[in-house]
Amino acid sequence: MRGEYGYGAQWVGQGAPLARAMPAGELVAVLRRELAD
Amino acid sequence: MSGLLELLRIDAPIVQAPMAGVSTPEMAAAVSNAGALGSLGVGATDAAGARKMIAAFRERSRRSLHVNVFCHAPASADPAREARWLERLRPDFARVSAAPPAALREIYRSFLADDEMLAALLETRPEVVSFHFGVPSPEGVKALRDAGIVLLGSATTLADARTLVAAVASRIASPRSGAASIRATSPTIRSRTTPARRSTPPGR
Repeated sequence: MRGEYGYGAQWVGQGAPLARAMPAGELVAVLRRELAD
Repeated sequence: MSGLLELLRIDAPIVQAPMAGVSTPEMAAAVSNAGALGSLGVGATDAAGARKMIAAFRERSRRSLHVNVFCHAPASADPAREARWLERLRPDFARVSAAPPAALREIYRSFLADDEMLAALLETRPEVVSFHFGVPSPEGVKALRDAGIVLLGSATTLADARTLVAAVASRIASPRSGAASIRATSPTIRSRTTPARRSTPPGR
């Protein structure tokens, strides 16, 4: 409200810059590949 | 690790966060079909909503489903105390030209006070159920375990972990440092623990 964001629940911590946008199933496939590497 | 994969009947040690209001049946099914644990957070919906979400998942996947419930201590209404809080917060509302609400209400019904949700879970039997903000009643835990459901809990403090162990969760997850997590701080949640409950191995 009115540019005030201080009351919002901010869910993302220091890992926010690591976010990659992709479909959920694809994301699991990527994580599984990276786990195996 | 392989024990955990077998217990949850998944291929990879990845659990989708069961975030209430954000995790959808489509997302959970995509995750489960990819070999991880797809999850639904039902803390912000009621038993009918949960049944709908679980059915929508089952239409899309035959693999394991994980459902998370909120187990906070149910709010006990105290209009006089709540009026004092609203009065105290009035200046904050005024700062953004808003009026405080006339009364406060509990926005999420706790699983501890939701027999219909328990019945829905016992009937639909997701493979995994996890708890947040506390643990269910001993009767609730027993009913879920007797239904063959694997129980998980999330611990962000040693006290959380002890609460979960006392409630006989099958596994305890500790969010990695830096991960988004919220913790139960209310001491009333801890007081709901059954102190003398005997620890038994996972019920499957």
